[in-house]
Amino acid sequence: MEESLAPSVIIEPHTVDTSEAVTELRHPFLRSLKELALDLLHDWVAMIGLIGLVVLLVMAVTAPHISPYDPAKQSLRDRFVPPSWMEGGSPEHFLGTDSLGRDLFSRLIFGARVSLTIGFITLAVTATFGTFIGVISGYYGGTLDEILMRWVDIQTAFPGLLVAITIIAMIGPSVENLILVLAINGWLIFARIARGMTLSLREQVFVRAARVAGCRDRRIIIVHILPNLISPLLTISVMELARFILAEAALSYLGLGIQPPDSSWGLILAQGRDYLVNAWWVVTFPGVVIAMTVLFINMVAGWLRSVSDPHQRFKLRNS
Amino acid sequence: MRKLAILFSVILAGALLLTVSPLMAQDSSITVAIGGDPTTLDPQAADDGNERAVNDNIYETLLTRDASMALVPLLAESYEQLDDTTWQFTLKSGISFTNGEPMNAEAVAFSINRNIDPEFNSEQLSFFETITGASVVDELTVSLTTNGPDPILPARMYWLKIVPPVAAQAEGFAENPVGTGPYKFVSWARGQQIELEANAEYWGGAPSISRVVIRPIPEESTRLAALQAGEVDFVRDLIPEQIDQAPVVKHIPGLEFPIVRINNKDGILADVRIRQAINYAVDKEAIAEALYAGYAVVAQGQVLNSSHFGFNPDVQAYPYDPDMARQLLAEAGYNGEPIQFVGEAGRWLKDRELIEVVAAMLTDAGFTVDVQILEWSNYLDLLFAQENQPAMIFVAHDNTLFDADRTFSGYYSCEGRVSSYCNEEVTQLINDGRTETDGAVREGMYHSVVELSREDGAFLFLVNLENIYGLSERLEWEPRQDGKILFAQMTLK
Repeated sequence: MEESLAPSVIIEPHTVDTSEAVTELRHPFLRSLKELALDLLHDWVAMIGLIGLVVLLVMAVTAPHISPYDPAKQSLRDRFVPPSWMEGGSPEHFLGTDSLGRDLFSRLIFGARVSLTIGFITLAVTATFGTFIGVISGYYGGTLDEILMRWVDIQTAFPGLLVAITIIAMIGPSVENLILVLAINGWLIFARIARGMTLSLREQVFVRAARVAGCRDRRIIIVHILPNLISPLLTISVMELARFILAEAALSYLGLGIQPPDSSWGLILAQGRDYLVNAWWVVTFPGVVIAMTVLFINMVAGWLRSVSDPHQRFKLRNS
Repeated sequence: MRKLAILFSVILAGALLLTVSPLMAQDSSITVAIGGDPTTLDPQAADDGNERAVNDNIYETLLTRDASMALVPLLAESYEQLDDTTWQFTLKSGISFTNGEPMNAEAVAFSINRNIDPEFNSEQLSFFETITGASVVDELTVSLTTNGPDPILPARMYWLKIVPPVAAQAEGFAENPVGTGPYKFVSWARGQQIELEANAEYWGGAPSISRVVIRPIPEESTRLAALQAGEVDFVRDLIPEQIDQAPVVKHIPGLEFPIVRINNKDGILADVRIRQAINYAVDKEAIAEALYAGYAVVAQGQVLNSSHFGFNPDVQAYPYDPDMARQLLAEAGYNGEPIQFVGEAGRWLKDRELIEVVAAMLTDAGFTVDVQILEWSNYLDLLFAQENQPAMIFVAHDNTLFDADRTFSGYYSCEGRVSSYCNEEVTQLINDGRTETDGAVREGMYHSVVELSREDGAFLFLVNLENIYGLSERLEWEPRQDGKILFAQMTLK
């Protein structure tokens, strides 16, 4: 989410009431950071989300040090050991084992690396590229808009899976290619939303005022239009992130993504599906971590949305 | 006194029939779950287990196999081999297709010629490679020619379904099957269900279950849930873990052999020691006992079981001996060069898991394995590739002709369609065996093929799977080793 922080920081002086800026003479960047932190302290929902996210990220980064077992270590004689607190469970396997006797807890810790990396990188790529195309298209309109939007239309017409299979067949399955394939399919929605919003913003009084005041296109886009897109785009980002994590699982399951012995949350879940009846834990725990991740991101995004929206923040401050 | 007894029994039987028949009509209908919607219902076009699950009940073949898998005549009355390349089949008289067309020499010759027509391009062609044509001799006699002596021609006739010539040439035959079998096609709602009803005029006597609804349910756990809920009476391909949850379970040693093909033509796997090391490094017992929960047996160093002609009972599986594997690797001077291992997921029982298990065991023994689970169509490209074949590729083979020639000519021969193993001596024996008419000599040749290829590490031999079926409490049926699901053999309690 660092990417989305940047623009909101830049626009601070232009969107906040100026009285505060005059009284506080420190560097605007530091000042806004402090404001953000204060907001965060008051917003316990966002705080929980942020702590949760940090824990997950730390888990992913330090996986080799904190995981109790090698995630690929199999033991066919210890298949489907239930979680340790259940009857038949063993203290050696906290969350039990999967269908090949691999330690589920270790696999989830290592799976976080793959899932979060793919999720966040894909999101960064699609959000940046999609928003760029959308804003350009909406702001300049005319032939450029026609061309770009027909491009989006044409790509929308192709089933995502078919495109993915074709591309992977040509370049081979790997993590990088998986991100590429997901990104090719994922930027369209950002472009559409950004274009729609830009079209209406373009005609707003403050944009026209800026134009009359002599602002260049680049400045109008970056300073006056982009900040107003953050709120809706954040909402989509959260939904898309969850979708990327699950789409990665689907593609990997078909053999278009990550390859054994690596695994991801989604793939663990997909592989455990057949055993739902007799080994619920193999499906449930990856499902829970995916749901938690999305929930945490949602909590943080809710707060980011409110601080990036001047109206909402004004209400927050004065309540 | 006797007259009275007869009268009495007639009245009794009539009374019973009156009371029972409405119940029977109501109840003698079953629902069956299969793994997916058939790709087509043309019995000669596809090599598709879901299509067979339906059409095995609608169509019939010249010969069939009884419960002990011995070949017996079905539509044929008798057959004989006239010379090396000519066979003559005499047909049963008075049989007709459910649309009224007669089942005669013309229909049989038409069916054979249709199935081997290169323009028809049937996926089943590999079953009939040796057949060059069929012609009508008289109303009930057909003569069949082969491109050389073909001792297993009768076995092929257990696979070739006889179709009615007029209907088969009409539009929409692939959606409207018409056969001579115990069941008649009623309707097909794609992806939802196929409905069959008993053929009341069936020449072998009408079957006891009057209506069968076949539903495609791709997921194993969903199939089991449907069985538990009583929505279906019969499911195929249960996974071993689910067995204690099904009302009634039937299982039987099957024909399916998951194997890993090893490319011995180039690269490091050209060294026989490395191929043997692969076989020593994998714990087949653990795979059969744990991964397949005991519903599999270790393959005895061959892709055949004792029901196949050519099975060599004296050859045994490679023991699990990782130290031996390491020693062989050291002798061969293997230094961790990556070995490509291609597989797929979701097509065969526990395929992905088996691939992961094998890869992990090989890694433990010192191999560097580069696993590539590919999407199905990409996988098929590599499976059928004749050049640049992958070093190792996972595949499952089931020899439904019950003769080693099918397995050997496909997988063991240099010229095999799906072979990446080449050994001139083995290929020579396979080619000689195919044209050898003396059964004992031929069996001896096949025993040598098994022995040589086992020593040569032609494949990573793994296990032989069982077929597992789930039945509802009210259904009675015994599974067949060839995996055919014949509704006419089912009864309700």
